[in-house]
Amino acid sequence: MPHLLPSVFGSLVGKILPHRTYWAAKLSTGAWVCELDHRDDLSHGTRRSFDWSLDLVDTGDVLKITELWLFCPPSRLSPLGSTARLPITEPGTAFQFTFSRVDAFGAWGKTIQHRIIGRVIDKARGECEYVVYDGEVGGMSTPMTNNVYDFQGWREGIPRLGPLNVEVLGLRL
Amino acid sequence: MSDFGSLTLQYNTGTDSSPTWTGTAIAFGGTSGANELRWATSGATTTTPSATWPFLSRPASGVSAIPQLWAFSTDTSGQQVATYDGTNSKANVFRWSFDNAGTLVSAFTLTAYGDNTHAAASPGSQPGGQSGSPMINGSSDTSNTSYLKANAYGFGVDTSGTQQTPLSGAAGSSLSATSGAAGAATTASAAWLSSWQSLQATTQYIQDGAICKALTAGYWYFTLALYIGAGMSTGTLQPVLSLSYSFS
Repeated sequence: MPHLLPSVFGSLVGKILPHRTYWAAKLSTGAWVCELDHRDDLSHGTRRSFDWSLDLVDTGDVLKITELWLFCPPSRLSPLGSTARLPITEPGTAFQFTFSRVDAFGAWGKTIQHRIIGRVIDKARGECEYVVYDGEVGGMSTPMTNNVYDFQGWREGIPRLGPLNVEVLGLRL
Repeated sequence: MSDFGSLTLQYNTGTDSSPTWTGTAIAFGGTSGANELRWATSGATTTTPSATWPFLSRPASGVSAIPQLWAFSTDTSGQQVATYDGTNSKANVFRWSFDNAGTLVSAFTLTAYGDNTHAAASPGSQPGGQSGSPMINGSSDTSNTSYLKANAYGFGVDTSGTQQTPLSGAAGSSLSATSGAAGAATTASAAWLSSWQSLQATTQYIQDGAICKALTAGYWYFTLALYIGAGMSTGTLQPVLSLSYSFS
């Protein structure tokens, strides 16, 4: 990863933020986009974060992704932060999502988010390679395999996610 | 990130046939008695603080369902969940309420853990390693299923964007202290699970049978029943009810 490349909307891709995980993507045009970017939303008259669904899937730019990155904050397990890169060699196979868990019941309730980037490596069977930043553990995994048609929890305590919505993710399988 | 802007737990203060959801949203999180669900058999009021909440006594033998459930937005300000009675006779008890900002990529999953470390359950182990694990692990009282049972209705918002809302009346047909099956109990369209499921970490849980349509507000209806039994270890039990989902 070249250090601190500017995205097309002016964010610095590659910096490690103290409390935030974010994805970034390099497009076939050579441009970088990431979720640190902000865009004007003319339909609502507001300014919003760059969005995977609205700005990559809906525009078709998801098919232009050639590299998908995940940047994670420093933690006890990784004091300098963590970075993952997945080369995307076939259009329509890159995905990212957040697994969120919210607790109710008692005064201990909280929200925990885990970030996942991945790529489908067998379109017929849905097998994928992915990396997760586990917000509960506070660390990034090594690359693992799973299946977008029946995504399993990556460790004890994480339930089976089941089939992923490939349309919302922008996958072309 | 297209997470929900608002995701809350709502409870019914009206009747089953004429539910009242207004003003009942419980936020996630909180401290010092706020945002709590509390079970009781008697002696609870709408202003009873968490620290003096009446004890639940175990039966000398066997199991019994706890008949009252209360929801507190602050330590001393709560309401009784009017349609909760520890049975399967009412449909409109709880619902998850979500706005139209979410782009879901996996189905909702509903379960409970011994505490907010979300550790795996140890079915049948008493007391277990977390504060609420006696409830979640179960015992011979419950055939090693959780003492906490749940049922859920339909898909919430189906893939075409249609809200699925239950009619008043029974929620499923089979509820007992031993209800529960390994893995996910998956809801079918516009129907309650016929058999209630135990909420036991990732061992036994409920999964929505569909991924709610993206960018569509709605509700996913569910209900709970908590048992207490002679085989349950005592203590201040603070498990967590946990809803998980994924968004892009």
